[in-house]
Amino acid sequence: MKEIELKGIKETVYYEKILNQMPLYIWKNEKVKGVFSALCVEYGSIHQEFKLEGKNKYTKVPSGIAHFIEHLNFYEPDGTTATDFYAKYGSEVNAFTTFNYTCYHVYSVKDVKSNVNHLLDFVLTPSFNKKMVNKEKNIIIEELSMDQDLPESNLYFTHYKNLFHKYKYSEQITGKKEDVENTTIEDIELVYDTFYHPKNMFFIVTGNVNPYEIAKITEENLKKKKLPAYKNPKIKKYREESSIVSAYTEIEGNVETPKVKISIKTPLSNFKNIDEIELRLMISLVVNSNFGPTSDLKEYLMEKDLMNYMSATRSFISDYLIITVNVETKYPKEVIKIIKDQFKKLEMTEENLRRKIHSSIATLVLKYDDIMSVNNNMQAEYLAFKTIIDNEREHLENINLTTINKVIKKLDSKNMAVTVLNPTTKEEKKQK
Amino acid sequence: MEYQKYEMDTYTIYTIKTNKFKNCHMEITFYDNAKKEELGLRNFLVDMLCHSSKKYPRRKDLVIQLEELYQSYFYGISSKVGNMVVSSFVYDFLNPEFVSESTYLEEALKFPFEILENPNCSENAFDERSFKIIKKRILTDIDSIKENPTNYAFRRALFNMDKDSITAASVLGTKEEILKITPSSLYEYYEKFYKKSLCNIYIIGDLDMEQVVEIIRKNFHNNCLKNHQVQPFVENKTRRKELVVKEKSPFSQSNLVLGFNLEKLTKEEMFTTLYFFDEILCAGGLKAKVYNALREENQLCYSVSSINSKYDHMYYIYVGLDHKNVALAIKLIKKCIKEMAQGKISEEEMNLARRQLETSLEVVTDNQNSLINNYTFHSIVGAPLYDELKESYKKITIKDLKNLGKKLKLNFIYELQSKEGEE
Repeated sequence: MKEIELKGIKETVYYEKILNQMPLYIWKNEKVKGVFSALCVEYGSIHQEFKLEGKNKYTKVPSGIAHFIEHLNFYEPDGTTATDFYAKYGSEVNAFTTFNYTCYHVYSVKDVKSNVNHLLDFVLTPSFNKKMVNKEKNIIIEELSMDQDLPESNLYFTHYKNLFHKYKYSEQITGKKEDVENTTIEDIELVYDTFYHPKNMFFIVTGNVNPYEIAKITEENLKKKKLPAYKNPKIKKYREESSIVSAYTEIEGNVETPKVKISIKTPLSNFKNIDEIELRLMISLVVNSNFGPTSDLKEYLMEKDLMNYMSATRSFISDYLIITVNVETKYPKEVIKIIKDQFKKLEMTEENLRRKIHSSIATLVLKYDDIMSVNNNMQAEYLAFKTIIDNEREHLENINLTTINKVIKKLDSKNMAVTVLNPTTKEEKKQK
Repeated sequence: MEYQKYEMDTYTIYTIKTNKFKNCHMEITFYDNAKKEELGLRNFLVDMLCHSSKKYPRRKDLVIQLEELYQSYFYGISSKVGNMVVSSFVYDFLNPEFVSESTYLEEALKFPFEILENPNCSENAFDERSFKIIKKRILTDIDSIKENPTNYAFRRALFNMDKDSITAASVLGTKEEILKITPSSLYEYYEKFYKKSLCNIYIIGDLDMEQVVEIIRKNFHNNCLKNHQVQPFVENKTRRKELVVKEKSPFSQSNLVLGFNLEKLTKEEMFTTLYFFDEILCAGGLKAKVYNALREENQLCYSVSSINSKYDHMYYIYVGLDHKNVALAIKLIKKCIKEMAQGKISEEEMNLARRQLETSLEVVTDNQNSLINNYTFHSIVGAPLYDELKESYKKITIKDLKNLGKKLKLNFIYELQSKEGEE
């Protein structure tokens, strides 16, 4: 087992590739009582077309199937559920599906060995039948109805439609009602058999554990399973055009004040000679500095009574960097113009950079306080880099104004998509 | 973990010393009996005080200072708990052990008191610029309640239950109340708030607490003696027959809320038995009676939630579902409640609930906010500390739950109908 020292923050992560198949990362914290174990499958809602080794044609499966499997996987071969098992220990078991992966997690305090063993057992032991598929359809349809009643969800997915020509990020993770209704047990078995394999999974355990013991349990568990050979599926990659789909779109929903998303889309190929970790850190600093609570822009918009709320995010999505500003405003036209202008004059001062790096280092130290958030961060790092970053502090300290300015210059601030969610009622529209 | 109490003349400091966390967490809490007409004003004031100050006149200035203090966080929150209003100024800062400056602890601890005692005011009125920003934001927050089906359904359900009850009042106040507030009236309220609210300070971290108390003493000048008591509980009216209300909505799911009065609970029932009862009835996830009946056996919904509003002597069950299934859901929920009142609870259900609650008590001790929240209500209303709860859960019997079940009286059934459900 390898001990990875996280430089400059006095933390250690333990790593082993179990049976040379599944990466296991462990962060030990003896001061807490709980253990958070997350078993993740690199199969998410965007993976809808794939082909198996030796096959020529891609197979297409219904949208939402990753999420459907997440629901079904809780059923156990003996007619019980994983929830039944964990209830006996007072542990909390749950799962979630994202665009890129599915995660099954357990928060336990007692008998961690049994809890970890069973996590590996229930996720890697399929037990599907037609009856449970049909039963689960109604529950999933209620889940997606719940999501559809949140207007911001519609804004989010519409905005992604305006940004991407081919990427599947504009589709709901649950799929649409008709996708759920049309999903068959054959589709489910095909996806499960193809992707639910240790070679396509990673395991992260954080909390009060003995790393060597967890590695041993995991290895013994996988050894006992008669796992078939990995099918080496090839997921279809979509060549995404660098342009956006629609520069401006208005939709309506059940909101009282318009909500706006403004994004710029930049191909990552623009940043060829820049370290990927440092790029991510620099973009965060730039976004925070120009659109965050210390920015002149936010202060100006508040003072001029132009917005109620504003936030900004950055996402690295396949081959693209997306920077998004979210605003709630009664004056969308004016605000969009101001933000567009800001994107054209992004900046970083020496003083801002010093302070932002200083506070980012503090955040890095503080991140290692909560076993769930450490686990979530490690999942995100693994997905992005296929490893855990052990020198983030060094990277932060390496950042200088010259490189940041180079990065700013490479951002495609003209390649912009704007989506506005307006209130539905006619009366309010007239007032605008 | 070492719990300590330091009584000052006009406030009390409660400390928890532990080396579990790298962060230190402090809450400066002002609490009092809730007055419906002052809720909006109080919430406005808390937002205002956290937005800017004399020394940091713009929000930006204040956040820059927090970044300088190694990414500290400072925010305020006002909540209504039964008949009480609790306004906390929450401050998170890095453990000085990770900082090279020897004056860091003093600098960090000064900050929240500097903000609270030197607000952005002149001539007995708050700064007009910050005032406008906060006012607009609160008016938007009041409007946006309609955007979230769960929040809106609850608000409407409680309004219909009894619009005059403090339970139905929003901590945000009403739009009419907010529009009447001026920079001067807010300042007038600030003086009253500071002088008359009861005050406790809670702090958790790996710190020399004697030093912490000394720094607070130097920087907090709360000199007004208060000796009144808070009356935290609300006695909401009961009904012979439940109120049934249906209202239209633009949502695709119907949102159903059932409200129950909790009649004449003992202290033990309120702080212990009720949690056990809720775990078996609804809060225990897929294994709970209501969850099992609605989701597992009938696939009516994705999730069901319950709220144990003990200070209001109320208990609520909430579910989002297809309108056509509402009648069946009501029938099933009533059946589950009846089973509880009849003591139809298996030993397995008892054991599962006990284990789940024991685990929850272990998990919360890994979280600073939960520990402080527990200490807060222990100190204000005598709620048991987590360790005491652990012992109490061991003693609960089916008979205790049966007795509690008999004290639940259905008050209302509220449905915020989906578009499809409009009649």
